Amino acid sequence: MSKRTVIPFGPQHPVLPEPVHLDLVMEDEKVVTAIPRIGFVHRGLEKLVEKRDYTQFVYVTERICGICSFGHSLGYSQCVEQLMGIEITERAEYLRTIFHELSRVHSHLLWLGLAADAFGHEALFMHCWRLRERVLDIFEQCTGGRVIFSACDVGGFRQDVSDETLAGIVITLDKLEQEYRQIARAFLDDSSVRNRLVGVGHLSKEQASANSLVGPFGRASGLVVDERLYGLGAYGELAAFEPVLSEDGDCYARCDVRIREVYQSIAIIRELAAKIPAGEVMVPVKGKPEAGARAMSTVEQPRGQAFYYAVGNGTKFLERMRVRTPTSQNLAGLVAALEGCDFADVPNIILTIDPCISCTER
Amino acid sequence: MRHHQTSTFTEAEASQVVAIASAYKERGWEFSQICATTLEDSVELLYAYCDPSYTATGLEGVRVNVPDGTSVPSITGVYPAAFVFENESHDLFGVSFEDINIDFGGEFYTVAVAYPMNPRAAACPAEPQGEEACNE
Repeated sequence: MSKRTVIPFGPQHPVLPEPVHLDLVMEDEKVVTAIPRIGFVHRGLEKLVEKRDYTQFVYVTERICGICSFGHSLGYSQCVEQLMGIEITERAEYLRTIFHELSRVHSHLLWLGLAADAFGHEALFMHCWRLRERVLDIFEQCTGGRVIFSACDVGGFRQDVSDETLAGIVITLDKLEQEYRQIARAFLDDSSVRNRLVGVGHLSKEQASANSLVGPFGRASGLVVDERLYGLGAYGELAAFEPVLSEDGDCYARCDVRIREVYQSIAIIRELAAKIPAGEVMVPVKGKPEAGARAMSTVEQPRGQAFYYAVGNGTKFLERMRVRTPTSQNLAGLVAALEGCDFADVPNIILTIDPCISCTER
Repeated sequence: MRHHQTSTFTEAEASQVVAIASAYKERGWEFSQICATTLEDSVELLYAYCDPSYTATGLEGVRVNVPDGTSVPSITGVYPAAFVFENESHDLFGVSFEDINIDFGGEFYTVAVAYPMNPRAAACPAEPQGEEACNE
């Protein structure tokens, strides 16, 4: 047996925008196993539920993450609405879904940029982020905020977005899609990209299932995991919805799935913008969660299933609020994907699970 | 239009968690998470599972009450992804688990104080073991 060496990877590393640490146990250039460690920037946001009432806490959940901030406010709001038996209006459901899918587009574009940067394609990185700016411009136009925009609230959507604005969003996305096709071709057809990603960090469907993978990480291994399949809210109004899958299970497949999901999200927005019903966007929220009332809710974030759990105690403060983010769930899969890989492939494998440590360190 | 998922909760003893996890696994259900909550004289663990068929808008939660000073069998033998949540429950709430597959021994989270989410466990840390440590 070759001599084993432990190489610390992170918490500061050029490929990691956020701090996570891995002890890589190596035999020559091969990774035998990887041991993750987190908690470098844990913020204890769940504990804040003792100091902020259930209407104020939506602002805290938005700040769990700067990339999927809307998804967190959506998941929290859905959970509290279930806890209190609140049913929001159909227009609010449509707007929530449209903005959630816009968040997915900008998150995937951000990830594609980071991935391009990781395998040394800086021009591609800049093109991805240039397109992402268009989505942030849409957020700014509709809400005044670009990253954290406080549009979702318990009881609905805080401010209506006119049908004319929605039509303008669709036109912007149509133009974005045309340019995006060229970028996607560079990702999927470029031989240097394929050389870095094909066959790297492979996980079979069985391995993906055994490690309870969520999101594009699991779907790239052929696992049918997508919370949108529940058909809640406006997702149930879509003519059809099929999750984007791949059977290959390697880094290239994860890239491919996310690229195709951008097209899917744009199609969803286009369909919902065309048939959004008129009406109010907020319902009055009165009362307090009952003591002992419990609710669980899930949302398909750009990185996969996010889980929310709330417990009432008869006051305006919740007894417990839990947020389980997709990256927490995918850590076991990351360890499995790293086993047996080449040392030089470690950055790409870590990046293709799209880790969000600020989510994990909520 | 359906607005909400349906949450179902059941209660179980700590000794049953592995058998329950195995039963969910046999039904093809996905493991979702473990959530710890500090109560007056115990910690409650919520094991959440979800139906991968998506035919029912349901999530099922199994609530397990863990009195102070007792430990819980690990379900990482059934669902390996649980190691994150079991180590988290230990490091932040002071819950002891038996036979975790990848046991970080309290080093998973970098915390300034021991068990920050559970004042009782922080006052009486599990390591060193034994009553004498608490009585000092």
